[in-house]
Amino acid sequence: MTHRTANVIAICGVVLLGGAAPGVLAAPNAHANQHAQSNAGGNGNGNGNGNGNGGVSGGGGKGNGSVVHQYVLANGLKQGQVANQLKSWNSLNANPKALFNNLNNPNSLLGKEAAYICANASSQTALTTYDNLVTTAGGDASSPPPTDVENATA
Amino acid sequence: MADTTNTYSPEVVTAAQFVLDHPTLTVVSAQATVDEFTAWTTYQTAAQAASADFAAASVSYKGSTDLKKLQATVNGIIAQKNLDTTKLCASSRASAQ
Repeated sequence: MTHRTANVIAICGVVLLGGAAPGVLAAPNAHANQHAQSNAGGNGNGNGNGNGNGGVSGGGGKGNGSVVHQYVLANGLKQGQVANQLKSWNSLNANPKALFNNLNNPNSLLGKEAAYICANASSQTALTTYDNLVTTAGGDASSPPPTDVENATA
Repeated sequence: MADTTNTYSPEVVTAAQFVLDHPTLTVVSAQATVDEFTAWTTYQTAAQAASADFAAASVSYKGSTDLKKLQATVNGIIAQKNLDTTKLCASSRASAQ
Protein backbone atom coordinates (compact mmCIF):
# COMPACT_ATOMS: atom_id res chain seq x y z
CA MET A 1 0.00 0.00 0.00
CA THR A 2 1.36 3.39 -0.85
CA HIS A 3 1.58 6.18 1.62
CA ARG A 4 -0.91 8.17 -0.39
CA THR A 5 -3.47 5.42 -0.31
CA ALA A 6 -2.83 4.97 3.35
CA ASN A 7 -3.69 8.54 4.04
CA VAL A 8 -6.87 8.34 2.05
CA ILE A 9 -7.90 5.41 4.15
CA ALA A 10 -6.78 7.18 7.27
CA ILE A 11 -9.01 10.11 6.49
CA CYS A 12 -11.84 7.72 5.76
CA GLY A 13 -10.98 5.98 8.99
CA VAL A 14 -11.61 9.18 10.84
CA VAL A 15 -15.06 9.24 9.38
CA LEU A 16 -15.62 5.61 10.16
CA LEU A 17 -14.48 6.01 13.70
CA GLY A 18 -16.72 9.01 14.06
CA GLY A 19 -13.88 10.88 15.68
CA ALA A 20 -13.31 14.57 15.37
CA ALA A 21 -9.61 14.59 14.67
CA PRO A 22 -8.60 18.02 13.48
CA GLY A 23 -5.03 17.00 14.12
CA VAL A 24 -5.05 14.83 11.03
CA LEU A 25 -5.12 17.83 8.77
CA ALA A 26 -2.47 19.55 10.82
CA ALA A 27 -0.27 16.48 10.83
CA PRO A 28 1.94 17.14 7.83
CA ASN A 29 3.32 20.43 9.03
CA ALA A 30 3.71 19.17 12.55
CA HIS A 31 5.53 16.15 11.27
CA ALA A 32 7.78 18.18 9.04
CA ASN A 33 8.51 20.54 11.90
CA GLN A 34 9.36 17.66 14.14
CA HIS A 35 11.86 16.32 11.68
CA ALA A 36 13.25 19.79 11.18
CA GLN A 37 13.57 20.28 14.89
CA SER A 38 15.32 16.96 15.22
CA ASN A 39 17.84 18.20 12.72
CA ALA A 40 18.10 21.61 14.29
CA GLY A 41 20.17 20.27 17.12
CA GLY A 42 22.66 19.32 14.53
CA ASN A 43 24.54 16.85 16.64
CA GLY A 44 22.34 13.78 16.64
CA ASN A 45 23.98 11.41 19.03
CA GLY A 46 27.12 13.36 18.50
CA ASN A 47 30.10 12.31 20.45
CA GLY A 48 28.40 9.50 22.23
CA ASN A 49 29.89 10.86 25.38
CA GLY A 50 27.72 8.79 27.64
CA ASN A 51 25.78 10.25 30.47
CA GLY A 52 26.60 11.87 33.68
CA ASN A 53 29.15 14.60 33.29
CA GLY A 54 29.12 14.87 37.02
CA GLY A 55 28.27 18.52 37.17
CA VAL A 56 31.80 19.49 36.33
CA SER A 57 30.81 23.03 35.72
CA GLY A 58 28.76 23.34 38.84
CA GLY A 59 25.72 23.95 36.71
CA GLY A 60 27.02 27.07 35.09
CA GLY A 61 27.64 25.44 31.75
CA LYS A 62 31.20 26.70 31.46
CA GLY A 63 33.15 23.69 32.57
CA ASN A 64 35.09 21.85 29.93
CA GLY A 65 33.46 18.57 30.91
CA SER A 66 29.88 19.78 30.86
CA VAL A 67 27.41 18.41 28.38
CA VAL A 68 26.65 21.96 27.27
CA HIS A 69 30.32 22.50 26.52
CA GLN A 70 30.43 19.27 24.56
CA TYR A 71 27.33 20.34 22.64
CA VAL A 72 29.03 23.64 21.85
CA LEU A 73 32.14 21.87 20.59
CA ALA A 74 30.16 19.34 18.56
CA ASN A 75 28.25 22.08 16.77
CA GLY A 76 30.92 24.73 16.39
CA LEU A 77 29.08 27.21 18.58
CA LYS A 78 30.22 29.77 21.11
CA GLN A 79 30.09 28.69 24.73
CA GLY A 80 28.95 32.04 26.09
CA GLN A 81 26.12 32.45 23.62
CA VAL A 82 24.73 29.00 24.26
CA ALA A 83 25.04 29.32 28.02
CA ASN A 84 23.29 32.70 27.91
CA GLN A 85 20.53 31.29 25.76
CA LEU A 86 20.03 28.32 28.05
CA LYS A 87 19.92 30.23 31.34
CA SER A 88 18.07 27.96 33.74
CA TRP A 89 18.33 25.09 31.26
CA ASN A 90 22.06 25.02 32.07
CA SER A 91 20.88 22.65 34.77
CA LEU A 92 21.20 20.01 32.06
CA ASN A 93 24.81 19.92 33.20
CA ALA A 94 23.69 18.38 36.45
CA ASN A 95 24.19 14.76 37.26
CA PRO A 96 21.18 12.88 35.81
CA LYS A 97 20.34 11.39 39.17
CA ALA A 98 20.29 14.79 40.81
CA LEU A 99 18.11 16.18 38.03
CA PHE A 100 15.60 13.37 37.94
CA ASN A 101 15.31 13.15 41.69
CA ASN A 102 13.20 16.26 41.29
CA LEU A 103 10.50 14.43 39.33
CA ASN A 104 8.71 13.95 42.61
CA ASN A 105 8.79 17.69 43.14
CA PRO A 106 6.86 18.84 40.07
CA ASN A 107 6.53 22.42 41.25
CA SER A 108 10.27 22.99 41.30
CA LEU A 109 12.12 24.24 38.25
CA LEU A 110 14.27 21.13 38.07
CA GLY A 111 11.15 19.02 38.44
CA LYS A 112 9.54 20.81 35.51
CA GLU A 113 12.66 20.42 33.41
CA ALA A 114 12.89 16.73 34.22
CA ALA A 115 9.21 16.35 33.36
CA TYR A 116 9.87 17.91 29.97
CA ILE A 117 12.77 15.56 29.31
CA CYS A 118 10.51 12.61 30.04
CA ALA A 119 7.64 13.98 27.95
CA ASN A 120 10.01 14.67 25.09
CA ALA A 121 11.33 11.12 25.27
CA SER A 122 7.78 9.78 25.11
CA SER A 123 7.08 12.00 22.13
CA GLN A 124 10.18 10.78 20.31
CA THR A 125 9.24 7.18 21.00
CA ALA A 126 5.76 7.79 19.60
CA LEU A 127 7.21 9.42 16.50
CA THR A 128 9.55 6.49 15.98
CA THR A 129 6.62 4.10 16.28
CA TYR A 130 4.69 6.05 13.66
CA ASP A 131 7.68 6.29 11.32
CA ASN A 132 8.31 2.56 11.61
CA LEU A 133 4.69 1.78 10.77
CA VAL A 134 4.77 4.03 7.74
CA THR A 135 8.07 2.62 6.56
CA THR A 136 6.85 -0.95 7.04
CA ALA A 137 3.79 -0.12 4.96
CA GLY A 138 6.06 1.10 2.17
CA GLY A 139 5.55 4.79 2.78
CA ASP A 140 8.07 7.54 3.24
CA ALA A 141 7.92 8.73 6.81
CA SER A 142 10.14 11.71 6.14
CA SER A 143 7.94 13.27 3.46
CA PRO A 144 4.81 15.06 4.61
CA PRO A 145 1.65 13.21 3.62
CA PRO A 146 -0.99 15.03 1.56
CA THR A 147 -3.39 17.15 3.52
CA ASP A 148 -6.61 16.19 1.83
CA VAL A 149 -8.34 13.48 -0.11
CA GLU A 150 -7.98 15.31 -3.41
CA ASN A 151 -4.20 15.32 -3.20
CA ALA A 152 -4.00 11.88 -1.70
CA THR A 153 -5.83 10.27 -4.58
CA ALA A 154 -4.11 12.27 -7.30
CA MET B 1 -40.60 -6.26 13.08
CA ALA B 2 -39.46 -3.00 11.56
CA ASP B 3 -37.66 -3.21 8.27
CA THR B 4 -34.23 -1.64 8.76
CA THR B 5 -32.66 -3.19 5.68
CA ASN B 6 -32.05 0.12 3.98
CA THR B 7 -31.21 2.14 7.04
CA TYR B 8 -27.53 2.97 7.24
CA SER B 9 -25.65 5.63 9.07
CA PRO B 10 -23.80 8.28 7.03
CA GLU B 11 -20.50 6.80 8.23
CA VAL B 12 -21.37 3.37 6.87
CA VAL B 13 -22.46 4.86 3.56
CA THR B 14 -19.21 6.81 3.33
CA ALA B 15 -17.21 3.70 4.13
CA ALA B 16 -19.08 1.66 1.55
CA GLN B 17 -18.47 4.31 -1.09
CA PHE B 18 -14.82 4.37 -0.20
CA VAL B 19 -14.48 0.61 -0.53
CA LEU B 20 -16.19 0.75 -3.92
CA ASP B 21 -13.76 3.44 -5.03
CA HIS B 22 -10.76 1.40 -3.86
CA PRO B 23 -11.24 -2.21 -4.95
CA THR B 24 -7.70 -3.17 -3.94
CA LEU B 25 -8.39 -2.37 -0.32
CA THR B 26 -7.75 -5.32 1.97
CA VAL B 27 -8.34 -5.95 5.64
CA VAL B 28 -4.59 -5.98 6.20
CA SER B 29 -3.98 -2.68 4.45
CA ALA B 30 -6.93 -1.08 6.19
CA GLN B 31 -5.68 -2.30 9.57
CA ALA B 32 -2.20 -0.99 8.82
CA THR B 33 -3.64 2.41 8.06
CA VAL B 34 -5.72 2.48 11.20
CA ASP B 35 -2.56 1.57 13.10
CA GLU B 36 -0.74 4.47 11.44
CA PHE B 37 -3.56 6.82 12.30
CA THR B 38 -3.54 5.69 15.92
CA ALA B 39 0.24 6.03 16.12
CA TRP B 40 0.08 9.50 14.62
CA THR B 41 -2.55 10.73 17.05
CA THR B 42 -0.58 9.21 19.92
CA TYR B 43 2.50 11.10 18.75
CA GLN B 44 0.58 14.33 18.39
CA THR B 45 -0.79 14.04 21.90
CA ALA B 46 2.68 13.30 23.27
CA ALA B 47 4.25 16.16 21.34
CA GLN B 48 1.64 18.60 22.59
CA ALA B 49 2.20 17.43 26.15
CA ALA B 50 5.95 17.88 25.74
CA SER B 51 5.50 21.39 24.37
CA ALA B 52 3.31 22.27 27.32
CA ASP B 53 5.91 20.91 29.70
CA PHE B 54 8.64 22.87 27.98
CA ALA B 55 6.65 26.07 28.24
CA ALA B 56 5.99 25.38 31.92
CA ALA B 57 9.69 24.85 32.54
CA SER B 58 10.57 28.04 30.69
CA VAL B 59 8.13 30.49 32.23
CA SER B 60 10.95 32.65 33.52
CA TYR B 61 12.10 33.49 29.99
CA LYS B 62 11.15 36.88 28.67
CA GLY B 63 8.66 37.32 25.90
CA SER B 64 11.34 38.02 23.35
CA THR B 65 12.91 34.62 23.83
CA ASP B 66 12.49 32.33 20.86
CA LEU B 67 11.26 29.25 22.71
CA LYS B 68 11.29 27.13 19.56
CA LYS B 69 14.97 27.84 19.08
CA LEU B 70 15.65 27.32 22.75
CA GLN B 71 13.78 24.01 22.68
CA ALA B 72 15.83 22.84 19.70
CA THR B 73 19.02 23.63 21.59
CA VAL B 74 17.77 21.91 24.71
CA ASN B 75 16.76 18.87 22.69
CA GLY B 76 20.21 18.75 21.12
CA ILE B 77 21.85 18.81 24.53
CA ILE B 78 19.47 16.18 25.87
CA ALA B 79 20.42 13.95 22.94
CA GLN B 80 24.09 14.59 23.67
CA LYS B 81 23.52 13.63 27.28
CA ASN B 82 22.34 10.20 26.13
CA LEU B 83 20.03 9.72 29.07
CA ASP B 84 18.38 6.45 29.90
CA THR B 85 14.93 7.99 30.18
CA THR B 86 13.27 4.60 30.39
CA LYS B 87 14.88 4.20 33.77
CA LEU B 88 15.15 7.81 34.87
CA CYS B 89 11.54 8.66 34.05
CA ALA B 90 10.08 5.56 35.66
CA SER B 91 9.24 7.37 38.87
CA SER B 92 7.48 10.06 36.85
CA ARG B 93 5.22 7.55 35.15
CA ALA B 94 4.60 5.76 38.41
CA SER B 95 3.54 8.92 40.17
CA ALA B 96 1.36 9.98 37.26
CA GLN B 97 -0.70 6.81 37.45
